Amino acid sequence: MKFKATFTDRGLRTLEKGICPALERHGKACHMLLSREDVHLIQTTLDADGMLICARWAIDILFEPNTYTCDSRHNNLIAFQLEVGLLRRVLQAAGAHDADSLEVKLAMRAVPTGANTAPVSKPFLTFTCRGPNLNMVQDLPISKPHLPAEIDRLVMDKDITQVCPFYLDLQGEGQRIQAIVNKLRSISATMTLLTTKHGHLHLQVTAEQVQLATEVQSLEVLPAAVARSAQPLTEAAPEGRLQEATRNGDAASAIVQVKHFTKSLHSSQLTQPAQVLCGIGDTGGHVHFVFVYRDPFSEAGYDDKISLSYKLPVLQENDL
Amino acid sequence: MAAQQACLKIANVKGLVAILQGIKSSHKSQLCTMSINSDGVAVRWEDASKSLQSSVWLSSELFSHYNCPWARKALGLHFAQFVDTLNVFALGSGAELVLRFPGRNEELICEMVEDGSMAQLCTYARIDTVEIPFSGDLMDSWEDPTSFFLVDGALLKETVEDLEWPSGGLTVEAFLRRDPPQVQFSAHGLGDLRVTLPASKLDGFHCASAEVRHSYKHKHLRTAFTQLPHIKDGSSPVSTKVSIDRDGLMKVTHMVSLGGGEGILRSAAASLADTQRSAVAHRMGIVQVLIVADEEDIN
Repeated sequence: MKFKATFTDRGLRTLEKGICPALERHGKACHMLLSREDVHLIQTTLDADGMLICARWAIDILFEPNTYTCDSRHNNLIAFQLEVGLLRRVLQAAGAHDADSLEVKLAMRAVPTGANTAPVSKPFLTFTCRGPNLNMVQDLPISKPHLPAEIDRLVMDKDITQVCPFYLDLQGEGQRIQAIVNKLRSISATMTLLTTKHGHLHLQVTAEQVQLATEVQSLEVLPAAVARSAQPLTEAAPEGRLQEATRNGDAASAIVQVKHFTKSLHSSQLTQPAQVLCGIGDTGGHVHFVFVYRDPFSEAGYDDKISLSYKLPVLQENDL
Repeated sequence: MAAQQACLKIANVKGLVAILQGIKSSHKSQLCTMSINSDGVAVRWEDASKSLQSSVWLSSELFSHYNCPWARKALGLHFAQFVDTLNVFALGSGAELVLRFPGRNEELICEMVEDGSMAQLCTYARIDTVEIPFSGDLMDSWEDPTSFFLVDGALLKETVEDLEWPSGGLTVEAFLRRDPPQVQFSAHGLGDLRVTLPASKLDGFHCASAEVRHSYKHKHLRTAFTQLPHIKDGSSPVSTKVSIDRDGLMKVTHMVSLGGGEGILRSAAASLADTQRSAVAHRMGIVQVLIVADEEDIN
């Protein structure tokens, strides 16, 4: 098993300033999954309070391609668990020294366990930072590399989220939605999230004596063809519009925990996404957030080499 | 939809929430009564001990639109939920809040439409009403003659807060003397503290008999004097009128500005009716707290 690579500037920046702080909001631990094509940081439902969080880089974004080695006996896949906070601090220290290059490799190192016992060999990620003034080596403790079965499960976990029929882009109204959701929390811990093909987002909370709802209109619908297929609405009031859209089969709904939703919006902003796409799974089985980033090297396009997505667990009616 | 529906619009939701939060302290009693009248809205809350009633009066002139098809209609509400719900609207960009009553199920409906940079935002709430929790008004038992004085609310807030430790937070005695005019609050118990309000700060002092002496629960005084938003942050003076009737029933009236924080200290007004008229002119809400005297402790 061998893993060795040198970070690119952009890779280091997105990891340290964006993804790591975002993941830290959801849980301490995360899994790193390395393959020949891409690198994933994954927080499973156990790590992130029921949510599934998956960040992906194509190899050439995070690492200099010619420096990258990733060999293992299991399809050249390597995975292990590490602490996000420690990873961020290691990268921060390296970044602070204005290094010329930062190399990372998987290493086993003997760790003394006491005066009378033999040292134990433990796995580390060793970060070597070379600069004009100093060279610095930092060892980040990690879990034992995952067994093939564990790796397969991680690969399955990250692939399990199907694409939703349609998404709404919340980025333009992100702050206002965040502000509303923060207040909704005082009324109920769970809320009903509804999206319509017309680009309307409805957030509803219900307490014993109160029903409160907000409709956010004119959000961008993706794919655009879905918006064109929606039947025009005739009702004047937001509640009527929602009922009409539901009747026509143009709406999707799911019940989520308010804290999951607000954490998702909030942590994603640390990564400065260009689009925040929110979709509801085919049968309302999950809520899917996909964050889309701009490619700094091209004017037009979005970057499909970096991605971050969250899957929120959905509560069934009878869970409430 | 009911044929007859009241529809009120108000822009300053933050002020509305702040003034409502000022009238309730204990968490024991959860319900309040709201009455929508042809000339304004009243929200009234009663302490579980029934010895304190507080209310907010919002004249119809505080609303940008006021349409009430009946003379008086009362509804019961869960106070905390009502305020929490209004709070959601208060974070809005200053758009108008529309209150409608009744909805299809006798509920109170709140609506707000905001125009954003690109998207329009509609927020709406339905608050279920409950049976009217109480109907008795302590004011009905008001017996003349009345003693009263007006003073800056901040001064009374400090006084009441200072009086907490000597009584162990139990009772405070209020003492009014006609000649020379004097207002004194005192508490005894763990320690002994007397606070005499400076005569120069008193306005429109009137004492019905040579001496008036009654004691009140400290927690009630705290509700009455220390909770209003303008008093809390001390940003602008609040005119407070304290009246005491023959049997010691105390009525505390605050004028609270809803017009954007510009509270104006009203000069002495000859009667409450006068103060009310001027309050309307200055877009002020009226907070009134009634406290029954705690006579057992005196004997």
